[in-house]
Amino acid sequence: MRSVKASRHVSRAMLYYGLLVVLYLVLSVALPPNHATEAAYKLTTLQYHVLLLLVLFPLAVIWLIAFYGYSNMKAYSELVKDSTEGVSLDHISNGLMWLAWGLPITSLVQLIAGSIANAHTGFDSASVIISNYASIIFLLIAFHIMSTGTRLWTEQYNLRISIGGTKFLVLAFVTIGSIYTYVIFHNTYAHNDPYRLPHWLLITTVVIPYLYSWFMGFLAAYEVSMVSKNVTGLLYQQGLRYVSGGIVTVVASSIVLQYFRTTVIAPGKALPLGSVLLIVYLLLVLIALGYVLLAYGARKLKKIEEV
Amino acid sequence: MAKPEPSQIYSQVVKVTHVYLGPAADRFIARQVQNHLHKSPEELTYADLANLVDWIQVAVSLITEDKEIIEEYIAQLRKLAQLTLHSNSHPASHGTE
Repeated sequence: MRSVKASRHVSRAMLYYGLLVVLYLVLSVALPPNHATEAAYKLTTLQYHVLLLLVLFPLAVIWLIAFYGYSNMKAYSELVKDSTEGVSLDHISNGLMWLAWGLPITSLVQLIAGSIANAHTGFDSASVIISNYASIIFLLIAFHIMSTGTRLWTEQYNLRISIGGTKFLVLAFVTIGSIYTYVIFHNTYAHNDPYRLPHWLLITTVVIPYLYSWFMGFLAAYEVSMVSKNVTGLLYQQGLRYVSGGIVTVVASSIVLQYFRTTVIAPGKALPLGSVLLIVYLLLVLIALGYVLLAYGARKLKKIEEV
Repeated sequence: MAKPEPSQIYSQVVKVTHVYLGPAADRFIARQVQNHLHKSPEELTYADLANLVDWIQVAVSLITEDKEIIEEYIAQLRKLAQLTLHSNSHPASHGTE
């Protein structure tokens, strides 16, 4: 019975994925094009929409893998719901779910907000702000929930982060956070306020939430790898290592992607547009790879619970 | 009502299984006992062990294709079965149950 409930997570996730892709497809075609882009690249409206669909295709594949990955993890956590690790795994899989859902939904929000801004230039600033906040919200919720789960998991095994580990995490976070804050404010002055927010709002609603969520993400990834190194069971470890590797890859790639997207403003000035797109897609592929590892590991662990 | 304690032989089988299945060991063995022997963990006896080991071998073969690990695990369980068989057939030399 529980196995049936568990497998429903996967089929339901695939259904939601399908609906989101269809919605993105319809909106890509139906919403008014960006006339500045059409003029810049000398595109007809048809060519513009075809280009959008070509961009959608690799994104849709990545979203599919992400949805498949998180739903398999959810299915596994359903099977072990009543066990000692059930609550922690439930939190972790919910965090991964928020990360996966964030991918298509932030793209949809950006598409809609951008289209409104195309038609009404007064909406330009609001479009940028809404797009930024959409990214922040999903990341914040995802990493907050995930880190709660990984903390419970480490407590179950009486694991503590070592002094060396703590120092490494703090140093890494302070370094990344400081550079990030510097770049954000440098962009504010050098690129004519690309975030469209007063400084106090930029700090409280963009910088702090991003830094908090990244720190939670780092912590979650570190704690997951601690558990996978300390858990017993030769066959159990085989599945858990893939899950752990998957979570670390997804978390790290998501953080780097957000870091890159919010700091590399005005592409073409610091980096050529082609390089920017290549890096973004590489990071998205890494996220997808993480979800592949996650799905593979979760399926191995599921098998143990089903036979 | 307090949950009945699993039998000693059940606990011994779980202990051996823990080396291979870690935190999933208890759930795995409980499932094999319930689904194939139609008993609860506290009802498992030494006489059931040989039959249980056969079912565990089938189940583990579905989890992994690593023959070495399967053979090692089943060998450990059969060794446990031999020990308990020896203990039961020589009750005078057997310590505590």
